[in-house]
Amino acid sequence: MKLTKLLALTLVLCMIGASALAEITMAGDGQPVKEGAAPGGTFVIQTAGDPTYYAPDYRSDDNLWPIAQNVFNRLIKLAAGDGLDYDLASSYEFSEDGKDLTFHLREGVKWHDGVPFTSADVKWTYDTIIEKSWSRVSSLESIDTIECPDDNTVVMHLKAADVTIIPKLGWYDTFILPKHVFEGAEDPEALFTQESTMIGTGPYKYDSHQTGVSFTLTRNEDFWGDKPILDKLIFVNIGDEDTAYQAWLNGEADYLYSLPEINTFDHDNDPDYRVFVSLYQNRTYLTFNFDDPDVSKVEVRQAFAKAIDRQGIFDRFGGGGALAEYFISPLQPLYLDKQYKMPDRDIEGAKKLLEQAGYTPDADGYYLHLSMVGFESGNWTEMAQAIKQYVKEAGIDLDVQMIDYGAWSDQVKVNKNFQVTMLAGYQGPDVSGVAGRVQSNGGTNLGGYNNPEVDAALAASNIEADTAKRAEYLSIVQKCMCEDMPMVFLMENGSHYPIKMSIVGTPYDVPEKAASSEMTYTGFSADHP
Amino acid sequence: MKKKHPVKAFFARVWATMLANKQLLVGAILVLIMASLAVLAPVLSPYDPYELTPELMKPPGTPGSNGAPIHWLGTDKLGRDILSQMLWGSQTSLRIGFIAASIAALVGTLIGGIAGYFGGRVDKVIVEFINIFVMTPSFFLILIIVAMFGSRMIYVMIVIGLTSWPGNARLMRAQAISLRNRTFIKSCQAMGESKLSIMFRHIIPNGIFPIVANTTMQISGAILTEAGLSFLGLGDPNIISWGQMISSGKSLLTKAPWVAIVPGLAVVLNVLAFFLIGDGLNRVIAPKMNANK
Amino acid sequence: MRRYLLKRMLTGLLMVMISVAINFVLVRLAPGDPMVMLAGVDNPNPAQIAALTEKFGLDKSIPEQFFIYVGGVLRGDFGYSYVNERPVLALIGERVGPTLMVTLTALIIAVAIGTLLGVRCARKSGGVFDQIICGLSYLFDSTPSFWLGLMLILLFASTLHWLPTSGMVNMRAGYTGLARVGDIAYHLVLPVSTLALITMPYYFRIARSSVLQVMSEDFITTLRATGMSEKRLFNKYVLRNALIPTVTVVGSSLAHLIGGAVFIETVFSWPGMGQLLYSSISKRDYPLLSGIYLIIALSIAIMMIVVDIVYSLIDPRIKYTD
Repeated sequence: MKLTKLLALTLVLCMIGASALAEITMAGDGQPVKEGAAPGGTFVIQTAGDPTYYAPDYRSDDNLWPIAQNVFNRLIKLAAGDGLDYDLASSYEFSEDGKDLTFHLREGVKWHDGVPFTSADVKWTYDTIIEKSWSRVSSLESIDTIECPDDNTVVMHLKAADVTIIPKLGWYDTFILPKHVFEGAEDPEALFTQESTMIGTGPYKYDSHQTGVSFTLTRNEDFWGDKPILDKLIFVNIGDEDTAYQAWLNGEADYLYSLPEINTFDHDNDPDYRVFVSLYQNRTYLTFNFDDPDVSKVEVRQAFAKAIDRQGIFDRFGGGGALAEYFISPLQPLYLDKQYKMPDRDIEGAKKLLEQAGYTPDADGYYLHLSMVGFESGNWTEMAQAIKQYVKEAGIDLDVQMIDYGAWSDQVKVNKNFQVTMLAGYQGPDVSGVAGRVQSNGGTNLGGYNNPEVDAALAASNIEADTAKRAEYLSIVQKCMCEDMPMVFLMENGSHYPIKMSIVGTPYDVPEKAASSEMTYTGFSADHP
Repeated sequence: MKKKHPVKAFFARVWATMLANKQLLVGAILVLIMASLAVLAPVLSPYDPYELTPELMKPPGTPGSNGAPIHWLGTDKLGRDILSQMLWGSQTSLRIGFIAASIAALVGTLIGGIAGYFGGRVDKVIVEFINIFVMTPSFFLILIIVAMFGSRMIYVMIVIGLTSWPGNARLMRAQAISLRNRTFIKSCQAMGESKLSIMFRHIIPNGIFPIVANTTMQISGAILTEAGLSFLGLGDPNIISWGQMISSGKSLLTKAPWVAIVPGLAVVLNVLAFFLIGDGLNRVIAPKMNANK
Repeated sequence: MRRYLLKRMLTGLLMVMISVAINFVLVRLAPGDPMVMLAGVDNPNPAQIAALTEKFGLDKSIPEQFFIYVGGVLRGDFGYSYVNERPVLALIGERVGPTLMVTLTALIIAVAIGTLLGVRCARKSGGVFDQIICGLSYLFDSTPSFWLGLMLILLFASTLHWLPTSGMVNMRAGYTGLARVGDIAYHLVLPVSTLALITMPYYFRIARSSVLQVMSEDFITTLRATGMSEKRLFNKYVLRNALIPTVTVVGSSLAHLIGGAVFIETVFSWPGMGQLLYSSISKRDYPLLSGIYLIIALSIAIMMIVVDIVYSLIDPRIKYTD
């Protein structure tokens, strides 16, 4: 790979950092944020369940994630605003050929047990992730070997030049672990379930864990970075969203895992809260099995697109998101080609398409009988019921089956035994994220959609550095998606996140400094007792 | 004394029993009302229960848009008319109750009848078999099966039915044991009637009454179980059911309490109706318990 | 008696084993591969899945797995949870406390109040009080626990703000000692009331009907004819005999309550066994699932045997023979 291309890609990545993967704005009157936190305090954060492990990296553990963000560090972190920031590394540089990546580490960093942090910890962590094939081994696949010339320097020899490794190191399950805690153990993996392994370098350290109830961290007085404000973080286990919301309203909790969809707009104009509105590169959609004789017909998929009332879906389930109108996320304005739009609702048009495909109505007025299988995720059962009703009006009888996630992944992902299914997911950070769902070998292309034109355009766009030319390739992808309709978009996902005025410095307030869920800068306002 | 026509006499007796037995009377009236509402649902419902009207989460009494009928019981989050859903949901409730309880009655009667009438080794084996099911935490089993294998209503009915027969089997067994020594059975045996034929023609018909009472109770149980499964998110999304309505109303409790309150009351009334009938029938069988004479 | 008991225990154990075996097989036949979920569905890693499958013995045939499981259980080893990588017994041990706290408290209240009301109503049967209580008992018996719980939350927590919505303790306060006990008790009020209200009718009816039944028996009539005072007659003969059925159903009803606890725990976010069971289902955590199931089946069996013994002790009319 030529260096120019490499530089160009680095530029693209920087842009991602600047333009932000998610768009965060303020709702309502945009109350000024009170500065100045009173030192100390106990901050209560809701979590959906108990973490399984006490240390990250080994297996993905959603309930450990917000805790780990406060206990452990990476070399580079992805901040809440989706820009990259230095964490345990103080700088990095690529060699001229792009194959050697050198990190300079912060000095004077200590583990929570007092042992100094060194480059050996970094090497051990990455080596072990690769060797034992831990959760995010795929993020490190371009690493060949790692060297530690001295205690504060780490050199990665890459198999080939790869700038994308930088954001990947800031992503999931790449926290640096304490080598001295794990090394020498007969089965290091068995240690992950023991509280003694929760030794990090982060702003807060482990205090106690009451299974099923709470997980407590205390301030790390020796933290190397900006001093944390709070005395204690308590992660409270409230699995039920509505219950958690009530507890939060009553002041029993300070920070919610998520706001129930029904309460999305409740605090937008309330002077006691400031509300952060975010739109994600995450979309809910229907997708089809291309091996099925019925839904593999483009007319049938187009009929779905015409039959579904997207505005109706948005009004009922939209929450903090937006109406889905285009074929890539509206957060990619440079690449969005607005001439390719989801069709407006047109029942007669949908029926006409079905007739074109050779279907005739039966005695009940149905052109065809299909089944949709999905799993519950918040309100998907009700959304599926709405879809069933919409397509029924166009003469499609859709039998809805909601099963649990385990059964769904067996039936849909593994056995491909489905006609229609419902899904949502992240389609970023780069615009090429859509490839996972529409490229013929895409990891989330569940229905086996295969259009050589799409594959070619995506491949070309991936090595193109010029934005305008890239947009042309991506326009082809959008054109094909519009014609073939492999996915019928239902909704853009997003959220409204209210924060009480008495609280300052949450990751929403300092998105450039703090990682998501990182409470280093968080505290209770001095003005609000 | 003039003899009444046997059918008339039967109804007169039933009527007299009902009048003497408040539970039976109230229960029967309630069931009659529920059944009529269920049957008349297509006529009485102001809306298609699945229709997504533009009125979202509106309180009871909200008028429909463009001259559509009033939403007498309000609408849910999707804009569906609650009164119409209630009416159609009563069909679901009754269907689940009857089918699940009938399966339990059928299986229980057969197994209990065979054990009691045939006796001996057959009985011993069957009794142990019944015991296995008695010791099975049935709700957990139902929960596991429905959660893992899927929540189609037909599965739910069958699973509830197949886990709630042991009570019936025990009752039928006891009946069969007491009946098999009666003279009319002995005489049938003497006349060379086959064992199976005796069981189906004499033992079961003569011993069925406690099963009928218990089955009525089990209709209540099945309705409650289905509502519970739906509440845990294991309802059949293709069907309107009261349990699912309560479940979806849970998150709307403070904003639109009617969504959960109305179907909950309906479940209570429906369960109560069958429960009263079952209890009433039991009192007819064991008059000693009847205190409301 | 001893031989009878021994036989009961042996057959009881066999029954439990068969029940657990059914569950064991059923769960493994269900769709959903725990190892795929463990390895992370979004990030499938065939090598890791294969390694995990072997590590947890899921590559063996189901009968083989079952015999290994039973062998373990007989040695007191209920296996390790796939998801938590901790002993199943330890996980259950942590959750059984909160569940028993709610169910036992509710049961004691339900038995005490239900029986008292039942006896009171039976003595003045047909009166206004009796009629009202009978009516209410039918009503609460027909009410789904989860719905009653929601209604109580709506009334006492959301509207009146007298009681907390849910949870077991006030997290922020982090009380210790006596204050903590008080805090838990405060949080217990709604879940226990819900469970007690729907359990009470059962004990009410049993007490009421058995008192009525005993009062109509011949020996009572005879005793009454001897001129014994009503009060003495009631306390000495009626009550004692009438309470036997109550005692016998307490055991099975506790098992039933634990089964129904999943609703109360869902509505009130109570950190108990019901929630543990539910999450073990969705994660296909077979050992944990079988462990919970086994413990419940076992306690039902034990309760039944204990009831038999208690029954024979308090009712001399019953004799067990082989």
